[in-house]
Amino acid sequence: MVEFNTQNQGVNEKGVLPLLKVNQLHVDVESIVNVRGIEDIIDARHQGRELARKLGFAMGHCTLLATVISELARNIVLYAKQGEIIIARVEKGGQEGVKVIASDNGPGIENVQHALMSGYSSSGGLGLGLSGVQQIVDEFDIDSQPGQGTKVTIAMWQD
Amino acid sequence: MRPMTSDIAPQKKTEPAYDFEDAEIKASQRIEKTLNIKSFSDQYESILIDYLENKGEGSLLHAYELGRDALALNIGLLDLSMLHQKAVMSLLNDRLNQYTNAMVFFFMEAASRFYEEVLSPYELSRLSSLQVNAMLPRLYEAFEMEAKRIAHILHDESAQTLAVACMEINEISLDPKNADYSLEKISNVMELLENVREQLRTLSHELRPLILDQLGLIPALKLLVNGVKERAGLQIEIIGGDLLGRMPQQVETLMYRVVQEALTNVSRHAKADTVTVRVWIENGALKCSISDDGVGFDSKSENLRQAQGIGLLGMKERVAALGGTFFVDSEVGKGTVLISEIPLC
Repeated sequence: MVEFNTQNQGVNEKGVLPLLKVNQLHVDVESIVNVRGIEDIIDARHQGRELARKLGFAMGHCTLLATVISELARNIVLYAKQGEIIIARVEKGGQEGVKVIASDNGPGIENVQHALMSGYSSSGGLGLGLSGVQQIVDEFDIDSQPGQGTKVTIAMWQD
Repeated sequence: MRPMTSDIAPQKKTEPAYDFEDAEIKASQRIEKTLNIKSFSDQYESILIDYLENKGEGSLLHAYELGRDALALNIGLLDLSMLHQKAVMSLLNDRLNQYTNAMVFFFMEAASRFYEEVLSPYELSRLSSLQVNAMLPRLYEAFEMEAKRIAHILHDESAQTLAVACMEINEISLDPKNADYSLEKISNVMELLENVREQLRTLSHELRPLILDQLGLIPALKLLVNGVKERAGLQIEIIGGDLLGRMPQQVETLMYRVVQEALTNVSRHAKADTVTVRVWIENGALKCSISDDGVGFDSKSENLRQAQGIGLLGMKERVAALGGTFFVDSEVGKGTVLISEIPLC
């Protein structure tokens, strides 16, 4: 799991991609959005899109990031009622990107493998959600246990 | 054992005739879809106007939700594209008198940004479909395994027994006058044929249990359990259920499949001695647990997908589609419990 602080100091990410460990990962938190409803989803999308734009992401890339944030925020509102979305600027080996951490203390996901499969929806929805998100982003990590909330961490890098 | 007549009665063949009722339902579905699309396109235009006037993130979120709705309404990408084009053209037409060239340019740019947002759920869906395609070979493999299992029963059991019956009859034909000898042989042959009949009946029952439609879930489960008991040498007990009446057909069918799949898995992998199947109704849902005392597996492992097999995975999807839940709990050496519930309405 990524550790970060809010004082805009880079910290080292341990254990992920050991081959690239020589390149330290710097994480600067740009914004923290409390997600309870539509207004917050809009806010989180806006923050994410603005950061991506600042980092020079292509237009389509910005849209996909907003889509990813929507899906993650949607899941929070739908299943956990409320949670938090952290949007951070990340830098590793000269490359910049956006990291989004969506976490909640909701019911958690009983079977993560299933939730990541296409077409899976426990709410009778389209079942786009997590499987689509996983395909869009460059890095994806999920940590969830029944009754202990869910934390999804994604990263998208500049092209 | 129940009398054989009802199970092997020939099924009525129905001529493929024009089904007026079906056609009527389809027509009303078409009309409903048209109405939905009409209200969708009205909504589309008003949200597009909202975006063009305010350029806010809120209307972009709306655009993305529109894209999700369009997917849910099963609107094709080309139709959606046309719908967008029409909305843009009609809005532009209203404004053409007041707009300068530069304003038209910005209008078009904003409209395409809006459209990009609408399309993003389609992009998600495209990416998901890639994943599904990658899984299909495994599904075919599962079908192939099932075909193998059926072929095995037909060849190694039924065909063998029939071959023995043929040999017996052949022997009778060599010495048809010997009444004592022939009578004994004939009763042998009859027993063999009875075995084959029973095997075929069980097999066809497993493929699509008629008794499920005729008598309901519990009798069907009892028959299923008897078959598995015999073939796999398991002790299986069904608890509860005697008080249950008929339930909606799709619930009965699906719960039957869940138990069938679970028992197949137990007999293939669990090395269990006894299995307990409990069926009950609680909080408006049909619930069922299947527990065994077999070797178990680590249900929390990463390779759960492999451990459970694609059959259970598909079952979980089907149960979720009816609004139910389904989970497996197991530990190495501690047996396995599968619990499923399906709401009754």
